[in-house]
Amino acid sequence: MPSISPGQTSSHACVQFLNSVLSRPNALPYEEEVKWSIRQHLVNVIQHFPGLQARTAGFTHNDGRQANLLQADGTIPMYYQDVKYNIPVTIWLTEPYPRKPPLVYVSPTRDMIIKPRHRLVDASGMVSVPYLQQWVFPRSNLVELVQNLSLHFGHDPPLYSRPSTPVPSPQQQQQQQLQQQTQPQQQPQQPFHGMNPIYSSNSPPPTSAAPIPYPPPYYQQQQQQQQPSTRTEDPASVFKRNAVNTLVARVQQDVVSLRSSFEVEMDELFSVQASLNKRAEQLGKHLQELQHEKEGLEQQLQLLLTNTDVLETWLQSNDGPNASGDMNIDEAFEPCDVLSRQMLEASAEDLAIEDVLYSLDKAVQEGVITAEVYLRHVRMLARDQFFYRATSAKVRTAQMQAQVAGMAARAAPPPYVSS
Amino acid sequence: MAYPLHPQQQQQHQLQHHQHQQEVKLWSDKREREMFENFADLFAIIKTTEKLEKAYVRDAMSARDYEPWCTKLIAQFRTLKNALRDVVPDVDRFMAAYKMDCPAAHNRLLVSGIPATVEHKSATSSSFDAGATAVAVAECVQHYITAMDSLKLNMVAVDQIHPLLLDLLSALNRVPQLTADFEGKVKTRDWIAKLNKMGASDELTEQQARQLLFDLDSSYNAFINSLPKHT
Repeated sequence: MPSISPGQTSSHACVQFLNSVLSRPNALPYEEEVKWSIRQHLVNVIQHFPGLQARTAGFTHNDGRQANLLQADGTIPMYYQDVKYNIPVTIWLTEPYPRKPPLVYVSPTRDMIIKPRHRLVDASGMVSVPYLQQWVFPRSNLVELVQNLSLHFGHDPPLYSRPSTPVPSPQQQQQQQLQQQTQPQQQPQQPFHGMNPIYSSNSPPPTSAAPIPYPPPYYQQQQQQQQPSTRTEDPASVFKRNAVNTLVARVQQDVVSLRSSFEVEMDELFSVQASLNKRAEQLGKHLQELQHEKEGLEQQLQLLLTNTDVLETWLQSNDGPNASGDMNIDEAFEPCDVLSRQMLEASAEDLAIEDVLYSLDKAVQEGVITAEVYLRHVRMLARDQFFYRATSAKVRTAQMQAQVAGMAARAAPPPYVSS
Repeated sequence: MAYPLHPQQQQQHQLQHHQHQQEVKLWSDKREREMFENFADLFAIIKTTEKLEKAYVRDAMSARDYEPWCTKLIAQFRTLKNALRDVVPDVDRFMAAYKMDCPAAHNRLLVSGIPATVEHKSATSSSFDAGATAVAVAECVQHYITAMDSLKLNMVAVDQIHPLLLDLLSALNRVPQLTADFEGKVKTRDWIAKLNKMGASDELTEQQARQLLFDLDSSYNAFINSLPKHT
């Protein structure tokens, strides 16, 4: 019988399948008028619960009759203790469907067993919930049925996985056994604790095993459903479990201490980095200062070179062979102001008289002049010399005063100075 | 102008400012002129003395020419110094102010107060004349007695004692037996120098007067003893 693969999520494909299958005359035993409803119910339920798929399959009634019926087959989700599990079910649409309720069976795999004496599920797996018993056409439908099933199963899960089930992760298996061992300590009314190997009410998952919020395939369902019945203690497994615990605790401690030591190291390195940054800044500043200094010195050097050039050109122009001859020595220097001129003349006279006196000394020594003449002239010349010397002293003080006044004027130019 | 001047402008500004200035005049009124004239005289005396000393030392001048000039200059100096004692209280400072550099004049005028010939007179050949010697000896005695009497009469002013001592020294110099370092001469020279440093109207203290008297007395005795004895 053709069926839609579980991978196809498009309800369109489902619709197409149902169309084809329902339109074939006498392929399915349903009434013509209700075929549309059947199709609708199936499409809806598959849309709501993608774990289900629509199929046709052969069904054997209790009285032996055989029929080719439509079924919704697959897993429906249920939430037990905030964990989502997928329960494999099969919903058979019997001949009087939808006037009469469908038949619902849980379909445990090889690794599952049905919880004995379940309120809703009998040993054969048939599910009877109040919704089925109170089935009303046309209001009742498959979606509500599945929601109801999900709710009931969430309160009281009907399926367990067997204890000796080969589990892919040995840790999970140990966990399962761990849970099983802890069961005797717990209340026996809650044997379903064994059902969740990965999540228990006691410890969080130590491994990086993926949590199960998404509907896993059958494979994972097997891991979830365990058998709580084996209460026998296995010394090897106990030792293994204890060892694992100790190792885990030690690893945790080591990780914490490692982390703190790393943090300390990191802080030190940060501080080193900060001080290195500061030093880099300082070095940069020093470098800049040095560069500024260098620039300043270069500028001064430039200035000196230009001045040297100026002086050299002046020298060349003035020190030539024709230059010195017509130079009047007395006019080579020009006093720049009145006081300087006066100073120059007074000093010149003073020194000139000194020279004359010296000449007179020589003269009287050689007897050119008499002592009388000598002394008289000395007296006269000395007298004159005094005036020049006194004048130059006074001019000097006047010059210094003018300099001081000039410096003061430069500092604060008087507003009344006319230019 | 409220903003600072450009350096070039500043220089010109200064030049203009100076051109507004007058030449420096040494004096501005008659009193100042008089003062400077006196200064000039002082300067000239000191300078001339310096040249005189140098010439004498270099033997460009004979003692005969030197001594009257020196005496004259010393006297002129003392007079002028006295007259200018208010404006020139310290001649050393005056000499430093005008950069005179006259150490010989300084010594002659301010320290010694007597010509070098008088200071260091030693026996000369001309004084072997017995008659002159007798006159000199008599003069010495006379001067000694005059000086001691003046002191006893409490005439202790410098201008009273100094000439007496000067005469005494001159007389002593004319006595050939006395060497240059005769104690009397030395003491007299010292006293003259001391008096030279003092002002003309200063007076000796009682202690100084007694000391001078004592010195004169002892040197007089020494002098008498140095005379050739008659047998």
